[in-house]
Amino acid sequence: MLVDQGGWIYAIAFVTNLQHFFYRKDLFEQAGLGVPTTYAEVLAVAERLRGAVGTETPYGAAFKVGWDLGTEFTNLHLAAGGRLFEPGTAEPVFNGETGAATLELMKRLLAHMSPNAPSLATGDVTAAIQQGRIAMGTLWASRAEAMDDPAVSEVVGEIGFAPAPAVLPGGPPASTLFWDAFVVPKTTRADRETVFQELMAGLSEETVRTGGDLADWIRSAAVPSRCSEAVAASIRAETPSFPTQPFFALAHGVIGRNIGDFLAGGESAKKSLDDAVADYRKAAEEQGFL
Amino acid sequence: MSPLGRPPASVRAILVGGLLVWLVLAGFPFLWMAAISLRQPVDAFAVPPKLLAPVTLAHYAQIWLADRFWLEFLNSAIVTVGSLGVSPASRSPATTAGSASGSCSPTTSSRSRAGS
Amino acid sequence: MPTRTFPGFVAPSLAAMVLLIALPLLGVGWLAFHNAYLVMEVVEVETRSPPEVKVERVPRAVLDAEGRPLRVWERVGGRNFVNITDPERAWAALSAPRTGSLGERLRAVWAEPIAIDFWGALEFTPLYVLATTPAILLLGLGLALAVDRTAGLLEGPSIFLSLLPFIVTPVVGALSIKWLFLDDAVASVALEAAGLGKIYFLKNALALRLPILLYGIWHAAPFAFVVFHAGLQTLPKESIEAALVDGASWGQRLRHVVLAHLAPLVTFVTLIHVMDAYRVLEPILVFSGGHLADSLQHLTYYILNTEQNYFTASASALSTIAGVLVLLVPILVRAWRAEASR
Repeated sequence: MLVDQGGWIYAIAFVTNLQHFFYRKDLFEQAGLGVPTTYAEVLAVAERLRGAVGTETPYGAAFKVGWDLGTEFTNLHLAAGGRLFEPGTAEPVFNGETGAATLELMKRLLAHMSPNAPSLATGDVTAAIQQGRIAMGTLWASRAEAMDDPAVSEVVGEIGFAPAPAVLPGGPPASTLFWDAFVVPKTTRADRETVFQELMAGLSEETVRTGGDLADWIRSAAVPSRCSEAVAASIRAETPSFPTQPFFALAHGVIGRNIGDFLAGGESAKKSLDDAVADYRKAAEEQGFL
Repeated sequence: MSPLGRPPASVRAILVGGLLVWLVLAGFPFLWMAAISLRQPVDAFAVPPKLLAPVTLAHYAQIWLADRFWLEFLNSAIVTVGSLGVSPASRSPATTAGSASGSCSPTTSSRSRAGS
Repeated sequence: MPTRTFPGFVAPSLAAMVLLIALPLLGVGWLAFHNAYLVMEVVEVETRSPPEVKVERVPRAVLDAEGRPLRVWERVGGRNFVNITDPERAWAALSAPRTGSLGERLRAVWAEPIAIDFWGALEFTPLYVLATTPAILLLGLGLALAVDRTAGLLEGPSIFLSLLPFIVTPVVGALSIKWLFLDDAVASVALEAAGLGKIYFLKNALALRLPILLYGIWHAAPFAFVVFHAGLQTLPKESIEAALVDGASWGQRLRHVVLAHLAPLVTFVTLIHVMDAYRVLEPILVFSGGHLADSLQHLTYYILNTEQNYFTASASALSTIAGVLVLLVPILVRAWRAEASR
């Protein structure tokens, strides 16, 4: 798919990725549990699954302070109907009531995660599911295929996938849509025509038809796999796009760094978010956004 | 052999015991790293950790052949050899000059001491 | 050496220092007092990207006549320094009225300025220096004495193994340690088996400080060891023999002969380690890769992380250099005095 802004084409998008819900089908069946569709249900299920995998903490998500934590906040905050900025401006508004409620939810989730969670990123959570150390988690769709690879996974065939739980009943999944795209820089020393032909050959109908489980291709010819159905369902449920405003990168950074103070119990949710807003203002003013 | 002479038995025990503990601490992390480099991830990060597991060279093949690790290795080698070559070449004349003038200093200092 | 040839010998290295050290430093100094940004305008555009087509208001760089983005350069005086140190917020945090017990009040007075990134980084850096320096000196000396006792066959392997943590690239060394401390990994399981319960070293900044400090000692002690080991080889036999004749005990010989002989090396190791401690980056990156509660940061990492804004980064770099100098001055003065008194 051609990506364009105001008529100016600048990339060719070819795969999507988003976070969705991973769960142990066998354990859920044993306990007679349904797949949770909201985070309130996730918390209830976590309570029921306590001890099911030999640990008190059956839930997992990439809460590593920094990029990962900032992303989790963004997903949950948007799904709770929160806004990050005043529409059309770079004015931050993520330190309101919705922001504080989002942080409270994150703290409740953290209680069901490994105490090391603030240091654990996507790779660690993936390994925890693969080793059968947690019973469920919110994780990137791109990690789904490796759940069925016996070289890395102890739980081949046992993992089910579903759209990320919502925050508001009936609301959109608490996730954001990413897409990867090709760009060819003007300054490349290779022959641009050849590069383009190579890329197109890589995205041929044959590739996307036979490689359905490798990625969630953006091509109508792609054949859905066991892993990609949850992605398609997430898109149908109107998962929003990951924010792309240039100043969002600044907000994302300061949120990821500041809210760890609250999650660790050092300060109030309001104070963490106010600190983040203060840091954001400084950075945004320096770069001319405010 | 020690220039210090034989320490008392208690000190000897502390030194030898301490050295043994240190050698384990210094060596084990690398030993473990080497061990998991030869395993499939499913065994490498197993819970609880496995002492023995099937051996595979797949990861070495992956990084050296597929991921072009040799290119990064070569870059490191070039930087190392390059800086080793350039740095002493530019510095050694100064060191010579420094040590040559340094050899004069005892005379100056003894002179100043004589003067005081 | 004749006075005329001296400049010729020093010139290449002087040129290299000016080109590679002095000029970049001046550049950093210049950047620290400037700021630049692109002029932005908010426009309404139609965006086509997966999965939807939408009309949105986005900021876009204003272009000049030649189609290049318009960039404003301004001299900002000390604003970058004010921004990173945030004296207003730091002062407000310090002077705010407080309630509760003395302990609670002290903790609050300490915690709040630390929430400002720069001061948080400034807190951990000296702590790292103060905690690791004595430890590596002691451990290095102990190892040098112990290896000195090992005869023949064992000496070579002991030296090799001891040096490993220092020789191996810090990223690799730090990873090898971190992997032992993850959930249910070797060290965690071993500590649990030893009856210490489940310990989560990575759970927050305070807990993370321990493995980072231990890693720092583990990594740098071999450096102290190898220097002291070399120093022991040059110990003059006559002094020891004289001490033996005088009936000095082992402890007295260690204190008055060996330590006196190694004193300049202790200064040397301290000096190098303090400078190294200021640019610790890898373990911070590997163990946490981020800032946690109560701020686990280090100045170097902070500089790397200042929003990719090289103007504020320059200001923090200059502040760091000032910090290094403050810590180094006492050691340098001491070395200078010792040299002068010879």
